[in-house]
Amino acid sequence: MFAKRTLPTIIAFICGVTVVFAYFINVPFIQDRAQSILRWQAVIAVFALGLGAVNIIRVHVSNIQRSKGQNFYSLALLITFAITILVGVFLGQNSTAYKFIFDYINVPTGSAIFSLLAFYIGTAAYRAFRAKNVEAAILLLTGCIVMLGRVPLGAKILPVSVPLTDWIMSVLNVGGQRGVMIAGAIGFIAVSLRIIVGLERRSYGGE
Amino acid sequence: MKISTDIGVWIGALAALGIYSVLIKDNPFYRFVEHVFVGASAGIAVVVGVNTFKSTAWSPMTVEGDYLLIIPMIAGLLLYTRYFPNIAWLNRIPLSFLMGTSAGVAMRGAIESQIVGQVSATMINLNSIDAWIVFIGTVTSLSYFFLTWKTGKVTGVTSKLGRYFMMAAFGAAFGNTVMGRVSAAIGRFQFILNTWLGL
Amino acid sequence: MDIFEKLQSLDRRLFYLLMALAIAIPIINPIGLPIDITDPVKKTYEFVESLPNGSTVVIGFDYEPGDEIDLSPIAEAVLHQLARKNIRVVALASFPAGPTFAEEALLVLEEYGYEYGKDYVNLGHYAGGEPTLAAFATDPTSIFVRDWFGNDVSSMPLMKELTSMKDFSMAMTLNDGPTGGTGTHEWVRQAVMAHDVPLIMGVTGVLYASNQTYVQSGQCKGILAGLRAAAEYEQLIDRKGIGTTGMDAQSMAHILIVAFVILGNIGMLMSKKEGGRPGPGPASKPATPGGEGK
Repeated sequence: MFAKRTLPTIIAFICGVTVVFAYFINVPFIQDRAQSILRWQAVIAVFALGLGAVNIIRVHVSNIQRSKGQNFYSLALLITFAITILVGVFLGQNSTAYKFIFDYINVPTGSAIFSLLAFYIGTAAYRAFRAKNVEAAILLLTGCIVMLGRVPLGAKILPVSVPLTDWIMSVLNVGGQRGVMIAGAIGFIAVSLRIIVGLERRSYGGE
Repeated sequence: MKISTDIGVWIGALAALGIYSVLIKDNPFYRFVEHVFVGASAGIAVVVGVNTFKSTAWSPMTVEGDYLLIIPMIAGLLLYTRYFPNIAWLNRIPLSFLMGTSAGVAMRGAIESQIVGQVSATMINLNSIDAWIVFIGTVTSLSYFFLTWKTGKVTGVTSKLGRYFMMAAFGAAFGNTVMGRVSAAIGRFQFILNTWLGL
Repeated sequence: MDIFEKLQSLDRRLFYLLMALAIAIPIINPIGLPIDITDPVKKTYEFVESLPNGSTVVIGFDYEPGDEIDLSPIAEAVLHQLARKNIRVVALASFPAGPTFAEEALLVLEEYGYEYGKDYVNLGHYAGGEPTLAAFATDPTSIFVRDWFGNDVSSMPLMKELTSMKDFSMAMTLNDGPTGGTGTHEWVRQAVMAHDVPLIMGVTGVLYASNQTYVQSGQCKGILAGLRAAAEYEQLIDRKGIGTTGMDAQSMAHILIVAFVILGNIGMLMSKKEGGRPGPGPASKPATPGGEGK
């Protein structure tokens, strides 16, 4: 019970309190301990990078085993995954082969996936963005002004959109965003405190 | 028009076209390219992870003699106990280390940067109409989040005003988001039309 | 069925085609619309210009392939300006793709005769996000013992001079969000608040609005958002790049989306007037925590 429940709480408490104290109190002993904790977490975090890979392997190997009509795609994924690792680890991340995978597979595909939203926004703009109430009208109006004010042709069609965009971004937007930021930070600090004092054990797998 | 003869350019262009083909209809080509992308991305994460491990952990221990780093290395390995139900609880140890440290580091800075810094920027120099608008926007949007227990006439108005400010902010964010996504499409189209097709 | 209702039922692929044409045509036949320099970009440029010649800056390449088009042009434009001032550069990355983007962007410095290890360094990737950045800020060599190319960091003349974040005259993050890496809030906390190092940001459009608060509060000295900012910066440094060539297509796409929004809303109004269908779905009441109607 101690190792399962209490030990993780103690670890989270010691780590959290040490790094907080080191920030506000200039005592070399505490500062050194805090720096060691930060370095150690950097090492642990490296291992966390592999969790995603393990999950991907588990899911897609299981897909292939169950052969639910997905096996060809899963196989393609695992082969690409294996080739990338072999190339990166054995030829090095500065090799031509690694750069080839990065520049001609990873970047174009990733960028194309992200850009799909540009097309979806087009249809959504026509079919769903309706000024049905004051809030929606404000959102649409500021959105459209900003879209016009940020491009040269928009500035030609509606010259006032440029200064209006500047004003929206630096005044109206800051007013709204700052409220969200402060409220978010208060919530964030409350959750952080709960983690440190052991009231939020679920965040590290406890119950 | 001078089509590229570079095999890499061809693969990059076909990969982008594969993704765009989903706009017409979900199809095997799209799914294939999507899976290849996930495989390559995960592979890159592993390759970079190995490199980071060497730089952050292995070299300091073996070259510089910082043998205590074996402790976080073992703790890091414990993360993988989650796949073995009998000993899965062991992964709470590294997770608690990561969560406690992250919470402490984030909390100490957030008070200063996101609360004190923002509040003082709002309150100081209220010497222009714009500064007052920012002030009113901040206070009313905060009231939207915090004055939720009982809504009277005054708090109802402030809460509503706060919502209007937030909608203006979200509108601004929306306009800029469109811009970002269109930029991504421009990048790909430039690659397809200029680099690949030579138009 | 009136014209607006007919338009409502149009195949979505027609909109996709229009969007594709709006982007493709200006790329094939550029219009060359003039790009005005906006205040945020000008202020950022002026801030970088005010940095002491020969000083050292740190740049975080905190983005993934999806946002490469938004952020790599910004990185290259700023690096040109830094190189003209003989400012040395230390690059690091919190996303796995970051070191390769850094490597490609840092090639700019070689045009100016920069020497690796002495004038610039690509430290590579770090795991752990903000806590690791905090450790780097306190002692840069404690986190990176080897650089991206596997070289010993402690033997590099540039790294020998660095003892903490305070040794940098400026920090910059090229950022597309905190998920999986280090976000802009984290950079403000670790560079500006903890070490009083001025920060500028190159961000995607998505992050521009939320980070304006830091610019207004003075915690961030400059912000460059997306391809548009890169285009403006390219003008300021007098080097045309991908940012400038993409602006015509950006214009057309934006105009098209705004036209869609306007048409859609006119359609809704017309339908309402005729007592017809007011568009898809009922008017939604915004959610209120605690509830206004209580």
